[in-house]
Amino acid sequence: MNLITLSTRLLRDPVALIAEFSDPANPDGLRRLMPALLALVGLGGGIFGAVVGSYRGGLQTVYAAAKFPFLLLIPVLVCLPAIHAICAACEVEVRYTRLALAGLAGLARTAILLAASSPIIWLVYSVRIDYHLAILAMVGTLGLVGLPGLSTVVRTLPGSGMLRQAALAGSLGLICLCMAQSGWLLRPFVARPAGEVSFLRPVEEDIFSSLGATVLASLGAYQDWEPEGAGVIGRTGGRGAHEGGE
Amino acid sequence: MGSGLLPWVLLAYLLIGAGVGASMWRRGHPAAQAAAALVAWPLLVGPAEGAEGLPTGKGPHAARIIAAFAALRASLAEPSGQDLIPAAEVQGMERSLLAADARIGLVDRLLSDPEIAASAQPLQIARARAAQEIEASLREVIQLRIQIGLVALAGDTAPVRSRVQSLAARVRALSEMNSEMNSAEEKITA
Amino acid sequence: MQPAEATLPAPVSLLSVPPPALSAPPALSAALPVMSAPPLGAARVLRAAVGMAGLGAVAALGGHDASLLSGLEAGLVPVLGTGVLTAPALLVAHQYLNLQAEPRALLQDLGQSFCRVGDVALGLVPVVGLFVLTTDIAPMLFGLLYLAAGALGLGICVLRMEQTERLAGTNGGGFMMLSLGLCWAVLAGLIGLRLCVGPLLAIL
Repeated sequence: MNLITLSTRLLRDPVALIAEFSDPANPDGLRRLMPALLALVGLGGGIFGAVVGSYRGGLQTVYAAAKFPFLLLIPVLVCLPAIHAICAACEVEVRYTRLALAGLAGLARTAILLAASSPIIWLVYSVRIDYHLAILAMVGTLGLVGLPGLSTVVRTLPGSGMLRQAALAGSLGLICLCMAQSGWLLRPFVARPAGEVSFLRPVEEDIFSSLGATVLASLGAYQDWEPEGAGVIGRTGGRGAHEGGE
Repeated sequence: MGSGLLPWVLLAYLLIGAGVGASMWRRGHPAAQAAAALVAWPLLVGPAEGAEGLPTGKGPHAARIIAAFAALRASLAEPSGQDLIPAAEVQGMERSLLAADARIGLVDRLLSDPEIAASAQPLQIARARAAQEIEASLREVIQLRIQIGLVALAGDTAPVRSRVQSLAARVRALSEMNSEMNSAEEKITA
Repeated sequence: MQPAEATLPAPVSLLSVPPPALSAPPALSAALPVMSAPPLGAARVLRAAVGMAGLGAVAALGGHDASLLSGLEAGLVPVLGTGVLTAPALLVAHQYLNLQAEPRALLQDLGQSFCRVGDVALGLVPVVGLFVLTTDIAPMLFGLLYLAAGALGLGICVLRMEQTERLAGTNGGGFMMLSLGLCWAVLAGLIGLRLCVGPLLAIL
């Protein structure tokens, strides 16, 4: 299946596609579809990342294009075993390969929509909006086009009732948690026009302490927030704080 | 990035991916699939499907059981049928019936040997009873669907519950018959 | 819909659909309910225990001075301790209230819930691992996720026990079991929290 046919099927009826390729009679369905789905994630995410990086321009465009697909992929790769176990605990019976395929198909759908929404973001960025607004536009677009991708996974899960809702809520919470932290780790995507260009920032603090400091600052309670190396990686890498972007 | 450990973490991730990819390559998968495994191997390394999925062996009634339960699920997906029976319960009954049917398939293969068939009367009786019980269970499923349809008109869910209990009892009886077949098989083998 | 309802006969006659010629269904015994979970076995229980211990051990790696042993303790002790301390009380209350399901079936439900929580813990290892590698909040996150998984396990267990009692066939038994199960879940939750405190503080 070529990428255009696959994109059409993903946009029109992803559930039928998932059902076809996750059928137990078709045990290699996930493996066969995975390269094409990953290519779509890379392509769509890369285009959107490049547009986001174009706010700073130069090398940052390339860096953001290279990192953005991983922002989409990491949460799914990390959370999939937990989501499968949560579904099983809530008696929502779904095979691991089917869930993996649904996750990947949802990501690919999101990536296609991200690529499609890139011109809008480019237009907004081209009028030199404020840095914080630029970040807000990126996050808002990501949230908006993430919904159809998420609905793909939701529609794949069988059953109904309270337990299914609990499984969905738990899974969604985990994905959001990991996506927020992945975004923090892979920053900067949108860099300040005068800021330093960097591929990745040092591993320091976490998204929640950053958000906390931002909220406090917005309330007028400024604190001298100095990010320090955190986690096993950050502690072994020493301390580092840079100005640049989010 | 200023961190000494990160490259090692990434290297370990890629090494595992390379292992998964190489194993796929050896089993004849195309290079693109093996390369995709390098990045997204956690999607391919899940728990064994056999533990969670439906029984793998097939018996003579498998297609009918799957069709009957697919129809039942469709009825339960209607607005009046939602939340009447937990999906897990439906899945459990389907799995038990398929397991019993797979057992019948196994016995059939055993009985196809004329030498065994000649001296396996208890096994044949147990097989016939199990097949009868599966047929009865499938008819119960049809009745259950009718009752689910009637809920839309009358709103009383008690008959549905009693049908489910009756079906559950049949399924349970089938499990007991499985052990009968087991002992008959053991006697023949001895 | 309104006119149709007005002309309908009484619900009882409407629902009296003559069944096809079936052999009489076997009497419902107080046997195990038909559930979707795979059967309990040593391998499943072991996998669950490994999941809990593994989650604790991974979280301990993120603590500044926590030892691996305290991580294993934090993963295993609260759930196992809660089960050992509260299961007998549940069984005694169940028998005292003259409920019909067999104690073995309730133990099976408890075991299934233990395995489910263990599987969730095993699935959470990569998530906590990511936070261990990149943040200092992993032990705290472990605590939150562990408590959430425990609460989920308790909730599922109560629902399973209620279903077991309903399938055992007594009138009103399901409601009684649900009430008993909720009381037990509160007790188990409190005991679980108490057992969590020490090991969690050790890795924080």
